Amino acid sequence: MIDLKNRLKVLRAERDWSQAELAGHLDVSRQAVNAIETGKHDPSLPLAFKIARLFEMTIEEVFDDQA
Amino acid sequence: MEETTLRQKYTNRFLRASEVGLLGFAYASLMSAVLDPLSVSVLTRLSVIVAVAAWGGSLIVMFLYRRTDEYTLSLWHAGTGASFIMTTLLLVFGSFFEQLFYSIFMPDRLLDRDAEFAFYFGAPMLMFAFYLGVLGKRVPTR
Repeated sequence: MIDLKNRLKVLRAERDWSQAELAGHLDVSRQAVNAIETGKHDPSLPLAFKIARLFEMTIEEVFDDQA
Repeated sequence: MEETTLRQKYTNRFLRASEVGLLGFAYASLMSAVLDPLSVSVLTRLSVIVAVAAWGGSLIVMFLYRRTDEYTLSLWHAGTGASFIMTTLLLVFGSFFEQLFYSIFMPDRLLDRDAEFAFYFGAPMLMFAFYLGVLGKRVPTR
């Protein structure tokens, strides 16, 4: 199993967004955002692309599989 | 934004249903295990009926709202996956371990009993595994 780290919490904090606000931008629930940030859920590929595009970054800049 | 709000509402509904279902199932199971059905009060009997209804209703709600979000779907899959593993363990190994138990601890009663653990306890164990799977997926790791 790959341990997927992400910078979602940091990126969200830089924009002073709440989890609910980020969830609104991504069209997911607040709990989904929380689960991704705490590592309980790895986003699907479409959601990962959506996250990367929202923050104007590549997927690799947001997520790290520690390979 | 309205669609997201609806999604959030349905996600909350799914999560609350999982909690209500777990509580209802746990209460009903506990009462069934410790109480003598011939001597319980009407109130206790009613409370168990309510718990079972809450448990059943919550499962329906969880099933209906499982696709609200990819997160709720992953919770549902975690629960059904755990339940499937328990099903496999019970069906494949349940009888073996039950007979092994009786052969070690109650050998004089071994021949009088059919393998009945899965029959009596299978369904509760499957449901317990389901809720354990859902709950385990919700607990944060960092």
